Amino acid sequence: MALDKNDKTYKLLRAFINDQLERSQLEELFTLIEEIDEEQLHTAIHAILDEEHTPENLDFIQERVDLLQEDILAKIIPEQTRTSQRKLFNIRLAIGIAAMLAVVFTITHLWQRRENFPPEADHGIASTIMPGGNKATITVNGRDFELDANQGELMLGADSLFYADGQLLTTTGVQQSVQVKTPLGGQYQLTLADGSQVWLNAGSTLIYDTGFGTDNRALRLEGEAYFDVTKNPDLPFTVEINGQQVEVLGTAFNISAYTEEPMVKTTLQRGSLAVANNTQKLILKPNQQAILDKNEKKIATHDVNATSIVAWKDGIFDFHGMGVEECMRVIARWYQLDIVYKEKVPSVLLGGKMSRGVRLSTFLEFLEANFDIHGEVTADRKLIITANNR
Amino acid sequence: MREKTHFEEAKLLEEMKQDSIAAFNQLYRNYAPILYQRLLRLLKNPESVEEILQDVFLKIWNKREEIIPEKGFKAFIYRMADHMAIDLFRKIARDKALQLELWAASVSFYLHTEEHVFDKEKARIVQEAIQSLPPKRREILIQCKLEDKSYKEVAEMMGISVSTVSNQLVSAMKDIREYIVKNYREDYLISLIFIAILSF
Repeated sequence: MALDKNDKTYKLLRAFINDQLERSQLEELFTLIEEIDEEQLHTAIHAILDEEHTPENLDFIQERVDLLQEDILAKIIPEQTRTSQRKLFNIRLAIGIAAMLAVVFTITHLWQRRENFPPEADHGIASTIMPGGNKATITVNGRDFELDANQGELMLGADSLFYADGQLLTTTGVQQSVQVKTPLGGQYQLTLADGSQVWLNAGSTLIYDTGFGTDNRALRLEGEAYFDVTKNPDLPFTVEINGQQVEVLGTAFNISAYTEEPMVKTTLQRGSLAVANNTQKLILKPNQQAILDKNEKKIATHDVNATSIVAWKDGIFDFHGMGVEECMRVIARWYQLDIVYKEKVPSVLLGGKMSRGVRLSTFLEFLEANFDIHGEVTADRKLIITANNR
Repeated sequence: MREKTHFEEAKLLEEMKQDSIAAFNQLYRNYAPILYQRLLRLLKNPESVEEILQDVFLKIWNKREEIIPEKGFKAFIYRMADHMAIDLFRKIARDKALQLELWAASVSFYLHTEEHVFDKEKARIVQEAIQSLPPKRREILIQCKLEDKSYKEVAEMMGISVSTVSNQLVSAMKDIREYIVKNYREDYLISLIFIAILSF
C-alpha cells in the first residue's frame, strides 16, 4: 500500500529531497523509514523525484557527466577494440597489410618525385632485412621465459602468466620481481594485474616488484612504452625513469626514455599526469609533452599531436616533425642496425607515415624518393647514410 | 515531436545492439545529466551518484542485447538508477556514521546556495573547513562557488584544465565533508539545521 502524501514519513522524505529538512528532523526521518516496507519507500521516492523541480548546478553536472563518460568508455572500448588491436599487433597479418600500404606509399611517392627516381636502386641486402616483430623475454623470480612470437599479448596475473587467447604460459606463485624485456626489433603488449595495458616498444625493459596491483602500482621503465592505465584513485600508478617520476591515476600516455636519447619524453594522450624530478613538478594536459633534458636536468613542456607520437603501438611509424638522427635511431632499434653517417647528418625535417611491418628496403626507397637521402646497408648491418647532392 | 524522439531512441537502441559506441554515447548524453540531477537530490554526494551512474551505464552496455525498446527505455533506465540509489540511501538510513556523512555531504555540496541562514555556528564550521583545505584547492572552491565564476574562467585564470577544476572541487567537497565528520561528531551539532548553507 502506497504512502499517503500527508503521511509524516512522506512529508519528511520530501523535505529531505528538496533540502528543506532540519538536522533535528533527520533522525526522525531515518527512524520512520525503518517502519515502512521496501516497496512503500521506493514508490514514495520515485514519486517525489518525479515531481517538477528546477534544475540546479547544471554547469557542474555537465562537467562531471563528461568526465564520467570518459571513464565509462575506457571500460567499454578496450573490450571492443582489443581484438582488432591484437590483430594489428599480429605481425604476420601486419606484414600483409604493410606490403599493401608500402606499395601504395611507394607508388604515390615515386609518382610525385618521378624525375628523382634513382636508377634501379641497389637494395639487395636491404630487401632481405625484415622488420621487427613480437619478441620479448619475461623474468619472474629469476626464471626466464621467451614469449611466443605468434601471440603478441601477455596477461600478467597475480600468480600466473597467460596469453590473451587464454593459453597458460606458467604459474609463478607470489611474484617477488618481474622484468619484461624486448630486444631490438621486438615489441610486446602486456596487461598488468590491475588491468592497465602496456605496449612495450623495441629495446625496452619494464620492471616491478612485490605487491604490484595490490599494495602499489610502481613500475620502472627503460626505453619506450605506451600506457593505458586503469583508474584507481587509491593506488597511484607511478613510472620511474632514470631521473624522473611520472604519476597518474587513470590515463593514457607514452614515455620514451632510451638511454641513447638525450631527452626523456613523456606525452599525455588523455586524462592528466604529473611529471617530477628532484627539483620540478609539472602537470600535463592531453596533447602536451614533457621533455626532460638529461644533461640540464630540467623539464619543459610543449604542445604535440599525441596521436602521432603513439602511432607506433598500432604498427605505424609516424615521422612527422622528426629530424634525421631521431628517425634513424627509431629505425635502428626496429631493424637492428648501426647507423653511420658518411658525411654530415642531413639537416631536414622528415614527415610521412609508414607501416612498421615493411622490409628495410621500403623505408630506404621512401627516404630516397622524398628526402633525397640515400641509405645503404652492409652485410654486418650498418646503415650508411648519405645526402644526395642536387 | 514525442513520437519522433521515441522513434530515434528505438533506432539508437537498435544500433547499440549492433555494438555501436556512437549510439551508446548518444544515449548517455540524453540521460546522464538528468539522472545525475535526480540522484543527487536523494544522495547529496557527487561521488555516490557517479558510482551509481557508472554502474547503470555499464549495465546498459553489457545487457544491450536484452533491452526491448517497446517496453520503454526511459522508464527502464530511471527505475534502474532509482533502485540503486534507494538501496544506498536505505543503507545510510540504518547507519549512524553514514547519516552524519550524509549531512556533511549536504553541507559541502550546498555551500554556494544563495539562501542566507543566519546560523553563525554553522557558518563558522564551514569557514573552518574551508580554511583547512590546501591553498590551491581552496582558491578553486572560492572562485567557483562563492565568486560564481565559470569553470572555464577559473581554469584559464589558474592555468589548469577544466576537468582539473571540477576534480579539485569534488575533492574540496570531500575534504570539507571529512573535516566536518571528524571535528563535529558530537551530539550538539546534530541539532544544527540540516540544510546547509553558507553565509559569511
